[in-house]
Amino acid sequence: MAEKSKETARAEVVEFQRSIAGLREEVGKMIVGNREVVDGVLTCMLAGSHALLEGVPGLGKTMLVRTMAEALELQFSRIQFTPDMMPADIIGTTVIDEAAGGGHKSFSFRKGPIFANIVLADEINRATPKTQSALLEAMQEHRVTVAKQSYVLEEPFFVLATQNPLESEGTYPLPEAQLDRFFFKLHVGFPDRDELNAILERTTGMITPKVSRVLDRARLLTMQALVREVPVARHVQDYAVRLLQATHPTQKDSLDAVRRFVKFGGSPRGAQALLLAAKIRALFEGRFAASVEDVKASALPALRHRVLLNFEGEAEGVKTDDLIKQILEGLPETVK
Amino acid sequence: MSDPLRKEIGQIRRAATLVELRLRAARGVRVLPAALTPALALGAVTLAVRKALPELLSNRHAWEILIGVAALVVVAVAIAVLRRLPPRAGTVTLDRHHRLDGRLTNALAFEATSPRTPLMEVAIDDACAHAAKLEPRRAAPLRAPRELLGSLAAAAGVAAVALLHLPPRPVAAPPQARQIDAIQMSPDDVELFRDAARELARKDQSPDARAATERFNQLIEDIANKRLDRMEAFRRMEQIERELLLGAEADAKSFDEALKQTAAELAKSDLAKPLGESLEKKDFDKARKDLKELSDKLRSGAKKPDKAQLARLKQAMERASAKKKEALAAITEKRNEVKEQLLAKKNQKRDDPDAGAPSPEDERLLKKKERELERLDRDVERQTQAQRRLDRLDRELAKSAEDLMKDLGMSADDLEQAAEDIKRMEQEQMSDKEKEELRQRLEELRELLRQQGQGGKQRMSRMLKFGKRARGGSSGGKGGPKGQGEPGEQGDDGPDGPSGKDGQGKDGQGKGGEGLMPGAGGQKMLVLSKGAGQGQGDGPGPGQNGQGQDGPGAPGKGIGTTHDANLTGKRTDLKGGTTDVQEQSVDTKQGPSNSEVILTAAERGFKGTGYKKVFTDYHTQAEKEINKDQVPDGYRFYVHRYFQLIRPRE
Repeated sequence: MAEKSKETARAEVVEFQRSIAGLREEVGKMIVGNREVVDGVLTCMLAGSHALLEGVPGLGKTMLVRTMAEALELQFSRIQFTPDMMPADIIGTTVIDEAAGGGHKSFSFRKGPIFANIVLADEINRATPKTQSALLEAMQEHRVTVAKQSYVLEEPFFVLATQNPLESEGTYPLPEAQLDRFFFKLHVGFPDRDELNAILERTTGMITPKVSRVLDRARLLTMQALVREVPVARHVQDYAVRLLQATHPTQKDSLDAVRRFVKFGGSPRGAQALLLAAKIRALFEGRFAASVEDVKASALPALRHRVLLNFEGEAEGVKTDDLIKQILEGLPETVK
Repeated sequence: MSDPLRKEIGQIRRAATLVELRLRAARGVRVLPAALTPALALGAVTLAVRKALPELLSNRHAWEILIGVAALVVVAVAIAVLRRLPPRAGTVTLDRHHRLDGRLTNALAFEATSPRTPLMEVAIDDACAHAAKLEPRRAAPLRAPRELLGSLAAAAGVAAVALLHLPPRPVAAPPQARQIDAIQMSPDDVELFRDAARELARKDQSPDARAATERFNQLIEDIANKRLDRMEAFRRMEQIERELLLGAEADAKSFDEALKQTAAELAKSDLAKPLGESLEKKDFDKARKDLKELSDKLRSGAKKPDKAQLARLKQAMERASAKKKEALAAITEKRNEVKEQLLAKKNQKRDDPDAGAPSPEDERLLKKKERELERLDRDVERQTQAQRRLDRLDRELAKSAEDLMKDLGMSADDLEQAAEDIKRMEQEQMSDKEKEELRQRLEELRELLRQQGQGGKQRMSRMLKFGKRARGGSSGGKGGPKGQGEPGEQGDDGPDGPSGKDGQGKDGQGKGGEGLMPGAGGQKMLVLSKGAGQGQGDGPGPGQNGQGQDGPGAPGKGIGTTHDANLTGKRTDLKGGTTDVQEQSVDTKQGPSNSEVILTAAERGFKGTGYKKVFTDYHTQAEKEINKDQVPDGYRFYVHRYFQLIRPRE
């Protein structure tokens, strides 16, 4: 029985790798480069969580999410956040339904765009905090409550939000609670010359690539379950915990820079994100268990939005990524 | 888990353990230079202190320090090796080296977990698949750190210090006076000059001459005791000579002229004529007697001179006393005149700068006047000095002349006083002679030291040997029954001489020097050649070729090439058929002949009364000759030196 289980597990991992490879291939038809961002989005999806993509306008953030949705046989909705948007515009609203012939009138709930498997929250930081907060319950609990009525969102559900850098005009910073609910925060960088050439070739020619659906909902849920099965050795888990603790300025062995520039370290969600991301990365690479290296590789996208700088850090222009790198360099892989 | 897997897990564990051991060793190697370099430096310092300043650090303490330092190194390395490694350091290192992304570490972690999930089992299997390829040596290489070079250098330094041999420090010697390069003179020469000084001291000298003689004596003693270097010796000689010259500054010629003038004036009087003649001959003793006779004559009533004689005597004495003053006044007047002319010329030149450059004729005249003024200055000086010496005599004569007409007795007293002055002048004259003799000795000493300085120790060694031989001692040379040749070392000065070491008396093949050869009348004659070797024998010695034919002329450097022109007798029979003339000399019954004496002296040293007599004869004759002839001083020295060397020794 055990031998069989081993074989099954091995086969599942192999199948997982194959599915991911197919998905990458389809996405790659539309998205040039940005392998880390694609993998990051896939990681978030497989972890059953949400991703925040940050980058200047025009870098293909929306295109990436839409392509991903197309490659997956899932329901996709797109919300373009604007300053005048209200929570109801996202969640939905209750309307009065009048029976035919002017008879009985009743309230009925009209679902908002959030009722989809993949929600693209485009330029999320252009909406007011009030509207942004409308996503909180949906993102954490995968349900929405309207007029004392809760509506469960269909699994898989994940939000892919994009935001412009905070320095851009007309943006509102996301609340800390909102940010914490994003599994990863991914930076979309500017493509290099080869990537730009490829983008131009694909987007200015006669033939526009078509994305096929390679994964369905059930397969995705199976993969999500497999992720949860990936074992994590104690020392790896301990490393993730120590890494998270090291982001806290109140820890006795935290770095001086952390003590000086960090207001709040990562939340436990950060450790969860680290471990899940490590597991997914191990599967991506065909391994059967997460390693310290996997945790390290996931540290930046998992923690950069969870570590909040204090005023001095902001004033000094300290970058969270640099702080996390320093922590990674100084943190021993194993301790007693 | 199946047995094969257990085996592979064991492999992984062993590999991890080995890696951990190597990690510890590597840590020890990393720590080693940091501990070893200062330890070696400390060790080197300890060794250096022990060697250089043993009184500061005893041997035991040095060893304690060295052992302590070595122990510190061992402890430091041991701590580095034994310090706990991070958990799973071996597998983490292997994972990293083989890029296994934590497979091995996870496998060992899962292996210890129970129950295990299927994915854990698969993860273990996955790790075991790599167990056979693990390379612990490469995963944890042992590399010598660069800092170890510094330790090696320090170790080399310690070795160098350890091998360094420092001579034991000499016990601090008491401060010594500065060593001087003392001048050396052979005892023979020292004795010579001591004799000369003693001889001078025995004479009745004036105080300044006596003081100069004492200083000369002291100089000789200081040289004998090696208390003087060359510079100091020459300085003191110069000082003595300067003092001697100071006393003799009065020009003897001027004195003689002044004395002659006095004598000439006195000779014009019948009464003072003998006195004048004595003074003219500088026979002061007779002059003193003549004066006494004159004073007696003036006192005695019987032979009392008549008035005319007295008048002439008075006139002569007045003139004698006044003549030199007139001469001095004339010279002084002339000098003043020349001086005024010179000043006038110079003033004219100064007051009239527009006149342009003076003509060569004017320049020449000016120079001439200046020279004339200098000459007159010298004349005035000489005249003054001469007058100073004759001043008392002149005054006594003038006073006597003055008293002559009043009281003959008083005049006689004055003349007796004048006689005393003459005695004083005689003494001065004698002191001058002694001073001159002393000056000559100084000159000889100076020349001797100068020549010794040129010859150095080699010359001194030869002189010592010669002095020893001259006293009849043996210098190591072996002589044959008939002739004695000296070791060839004395032949150094005769570059052309044959190189035979021992002269053969028969053939006279010494290198030169002193040789006996048949002289006139069959007497053996001592013939000197300048070669340094000594061929002695009945046969013709190397003196055949000596350069002595020119008498006291300059010595040649090599062996002579011609015969002495004064030689008579038969030519030397080179086959050894020499003529032995000894028998004829013995028959005189007046002691040994000169040739016998010289032969004996040559064989036994310059000792004995017979040799003294012969030497005195020869020396006196030689002195006469060189005083008679115009012989340059430089060459006179060689003659003197020669006789110094062959002088009789006690």
